Amino acid sequence: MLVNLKVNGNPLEVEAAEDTTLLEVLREHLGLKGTRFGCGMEKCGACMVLVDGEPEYSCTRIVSTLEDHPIQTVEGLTDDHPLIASFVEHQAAQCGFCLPGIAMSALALLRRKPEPERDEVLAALEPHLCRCGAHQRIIDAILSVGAP
Amino acid sequence: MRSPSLLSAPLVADWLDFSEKDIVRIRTGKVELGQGILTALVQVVSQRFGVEPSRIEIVSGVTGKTPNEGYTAGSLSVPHSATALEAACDTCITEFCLRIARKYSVDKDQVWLSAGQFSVPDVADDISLWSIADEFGLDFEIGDAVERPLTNVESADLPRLDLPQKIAGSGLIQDLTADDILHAQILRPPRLGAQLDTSNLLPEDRNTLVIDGSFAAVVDDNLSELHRKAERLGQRLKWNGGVELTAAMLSPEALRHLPAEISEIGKPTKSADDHEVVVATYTRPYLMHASIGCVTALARWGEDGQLKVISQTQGPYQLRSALSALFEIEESAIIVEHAAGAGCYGHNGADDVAGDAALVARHYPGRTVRVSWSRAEEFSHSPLSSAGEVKLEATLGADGHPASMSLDIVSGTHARRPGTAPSGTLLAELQRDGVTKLNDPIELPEMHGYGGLRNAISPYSIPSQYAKLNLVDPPGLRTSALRGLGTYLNVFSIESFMDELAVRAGIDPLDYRLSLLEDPRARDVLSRAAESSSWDKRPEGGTGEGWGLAYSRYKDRAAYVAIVAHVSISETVRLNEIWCIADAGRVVSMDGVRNQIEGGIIQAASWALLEEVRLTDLGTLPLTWDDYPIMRFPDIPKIDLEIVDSPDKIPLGAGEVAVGPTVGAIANAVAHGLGVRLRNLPYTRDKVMAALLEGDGARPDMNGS
Repeated sequence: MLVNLKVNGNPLEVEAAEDTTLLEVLREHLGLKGTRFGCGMEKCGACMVLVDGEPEYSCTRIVSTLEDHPIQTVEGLTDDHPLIASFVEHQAAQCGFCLPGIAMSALALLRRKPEPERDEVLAALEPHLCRCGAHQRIIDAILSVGAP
Repeated sequence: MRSPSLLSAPLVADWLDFSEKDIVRIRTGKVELGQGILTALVQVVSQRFGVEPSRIEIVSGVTGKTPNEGYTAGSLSVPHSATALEAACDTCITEFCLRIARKYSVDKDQVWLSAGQFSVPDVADDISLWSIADEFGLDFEIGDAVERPLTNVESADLPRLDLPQKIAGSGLIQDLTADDILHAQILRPPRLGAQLDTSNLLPEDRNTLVIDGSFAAVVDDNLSELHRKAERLGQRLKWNGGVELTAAMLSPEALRHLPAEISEIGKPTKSADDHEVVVATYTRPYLMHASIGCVTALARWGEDGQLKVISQTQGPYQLRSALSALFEIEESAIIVEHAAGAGCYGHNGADDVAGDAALVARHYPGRTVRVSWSRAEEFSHSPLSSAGEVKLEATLGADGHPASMSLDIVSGTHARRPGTAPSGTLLAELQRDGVTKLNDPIELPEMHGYGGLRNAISPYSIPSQYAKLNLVDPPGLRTSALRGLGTYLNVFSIESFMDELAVRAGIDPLDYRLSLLEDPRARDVLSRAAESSSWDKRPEGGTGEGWGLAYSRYKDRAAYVAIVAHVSISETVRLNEIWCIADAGRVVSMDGVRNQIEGGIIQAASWALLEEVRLTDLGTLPLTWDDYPIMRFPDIPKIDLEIVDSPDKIPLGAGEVAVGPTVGAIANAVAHGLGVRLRNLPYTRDKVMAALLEGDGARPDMNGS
C-alpha cells in the first residue's frame, strides 16, 4: 500500500506492505540508517524516534498508522545541533550503536525541560540500553546542553 | 620492549604508505571495536610526523593488505600496534634524514622535519615525506622507537575520528548494503547438535531454503518478507537429538562433576602443622556478551570462486583461516575486510555470522548475502562466558598473614575462537554437521596471560602460592572469551578472601593489603583510591551502607587498578559510587583510556549485580532482554576516575583492566554493608534477601576448614 509520511520535515510517499514497521521503512526504504534494530521488542531503545514530538519505538510501530504524524530521526539533527555537538564534545560513546536512539529521547526531554535535573535525564533514558558503559558521558553531555 | 607485531611485518613499507601526495596512509591489523583504537593510532603517527590528522588515512584489518597482528583483544592494541607504528615512523624519519643528508652532503642532524616537509640549510628543493618515499622507497627494517618524538607537535588528545559519523547514524556494519544485496536468516536448532528433519517441508519450500546438512537458511530480497518466511518455514522444520539443557546444567556447581583437564601454576605446598587453615568457596554464573547490536556480515562469492567477506571480526586473518577450512579453499582465494559493528567485548557471534553469510552466499554466486542475527540468536547462539567456582585455601601465620594461598578453580574454556583449532570454530560448520561434542577445551598459555588461570596468583607477598585449573567441557554450552576471561572470577575470589582474612585478623582491609604489597605502583594506586574515597571515614559495617575496596593488575602486566565502591543495600544492592585510580604507564590517548576504564567499570558492575544466564521456560538459553537484564541508566553509579600518567614507563593496556577490581570492590562493599559475606555472584535481590533472612552461611567470623 501507499503511505504518506512526514520524516524530518519532508513529505514522502512510501510503498510498503501493510504490516511493515516504521523501522524497516526508515532503514530499508528511505536509507536512514541511524535508527537501529536492536531487539524488535521495545526493550533496548536503539530504534527510538520521535512521533508527534514524543519518543516511540519504531521497531513495533506499523507504518500505515503514521500518516499525519510527523516523524523525526537522528538524521534530522544537523552536526551543529547543540545536542549532537555536546555528544561529540563529551566523546559520549564507544561503539555509538545506541546513541541515535538515545539522542531522540534526550531531544524530547530537552524540548520539554531545557535544563533538566540529572534524575530527569536518567528517567528519560530508562528505555535505553548501552553495553559499552558510556552512560556517564552521555548523561553529562545531555546535562550540559541546557546548562547555563 | 619490541612490539611482537613487528615479527610478521618488519618493514616500514608494511605499516606506512606515502604513494598519495600529502596523505600518510597507515596500515594496522588492529580493528575498531568501539574502543577508539584507530584514533589513537592516527594520533601517534600525527605526532611523529607533525602531519595534521586530517591528512592521515588508516586502513585496518584487511587480509593481504594490513599486518597480521592477531586478534584485537587482551588490552594489547596500544602496547603492540601503537608501539609498532611509533617504531615504524621513527625508523622512517631516521632513514629519510640519513639519505637526505647524504644527497645534500650535510650532517644528518641538520635535516629537520616539520609538517611532513624536510628542511636542509641552504637548500630550496621541495623535500617531503612523499618525495623522499618516492625516491628511496620504504623497504627499511624497523628499528627501535626513539626516546622522544622527533617533531614538536603538541600532544593534545585527538577526539574520536569515527564518532561524528556514528552519532549522526551511519558507519557501522549493520548500516552497510549493496546493489546486489540478498538478505538471509539462519534457521537455528533449539539445541546444540540437533539434526535437521525436513520431512514436513512442502516441495515449494525447498526453493526458498538453503539446506546444507543441518544448516538451513531462508533468503529474500526484502527484509520483511524474509522474516515472514523464516517464521513460517521455521515452524515446519523439525529437529532431532542434540544436547537437552536443564537448569542444573547452568549452575556453577555442576562443573565439579565433569571430567577435567588439569593446568597448574606453582606447586602445592604442605603447610606447617601450627598454621591455621582457612577455606572459602566462591562462584560466578555463565555470562553473555549482550551487545545492543546484532552481529552482521556480508559475503559475496565472485564468479571466479573468490570469496569476499565484510566482517566485524576481531581477527580478520584468523577468520580467513577458518573460512578456508570450512570451504576447503586456499586462503589466497578469500579476502576478509573489517567493518566496525556494535560494541564487542570478546568472542561473540562476529565470526559465526561471517561463516553463516559465506555459506549461504556460496549458493548465490554474484550476490552479496547479508546476514544480521536476530536478538534471540544473539542471546542463544553467541558463545557464552563460562561459569566457574574457586575453592580458596590459605594457611595463616601467627600474625594473621597468609603463609600460603592456593586456588582450586573449575571452569569451561575461555578460548574457542577461530585459530584455536583447525576446524569446528564457526557455528555454521557446527550446525551443518550436527556437532554435539565441541573441540576439546584449551587453556591459554602463560605468554597470553592464561585463560581460566588469569590473575589466579595473587599480587600479594605470600611466601607460597599455587593455582590449579580444572578445565571442563560443559555439555551443550559453547563457552569462549569475554572481557577479562578468568580474571572476573579469580580477582573476585581473591579480593573477597583478602577482606575475609583482614576481618579475621582484625585489621582494616586497606592496611592488610598494603602490608602485603611491595610494588610501589600498586601501593600508590591503592593508597590514592583510599584517599579520594575518604576510606578512613568508613563507618562500621552491617548498617546497609557498605564500602569495599579491591586491587588488581590485569594479567600481572597491564594497568594497575584500585577501586573503592560504595553501596546501599535494602532488598537490592544499589551501587552509588565508584572511585578508581589506574596507572596505565605512558598514556597514548588519555580520553581513550578513561573511556575504556569507565566502560569496564559499568559493565563489570552490571555483571556483579544483575547478570546470570538462566534457562528459559522453553528450556533454552535466554532469548530476550527480559531473560537477561543488564544495568540501565537509572542504576549507573557516579564514577570518580583518576589516571596516573607515567610518561617514562611503557604503555600498559586498559580495555579489560577494571573488571576484576570492580567486582572485588562491590563484593567487599556488599559484605561490609550486610555484615554477611556473599560468595556467589551475582548480587541479585534473591541472594540479598536470602542473606538477610538466614545468612549465607558465611559470617565474617567464618570457621576454618
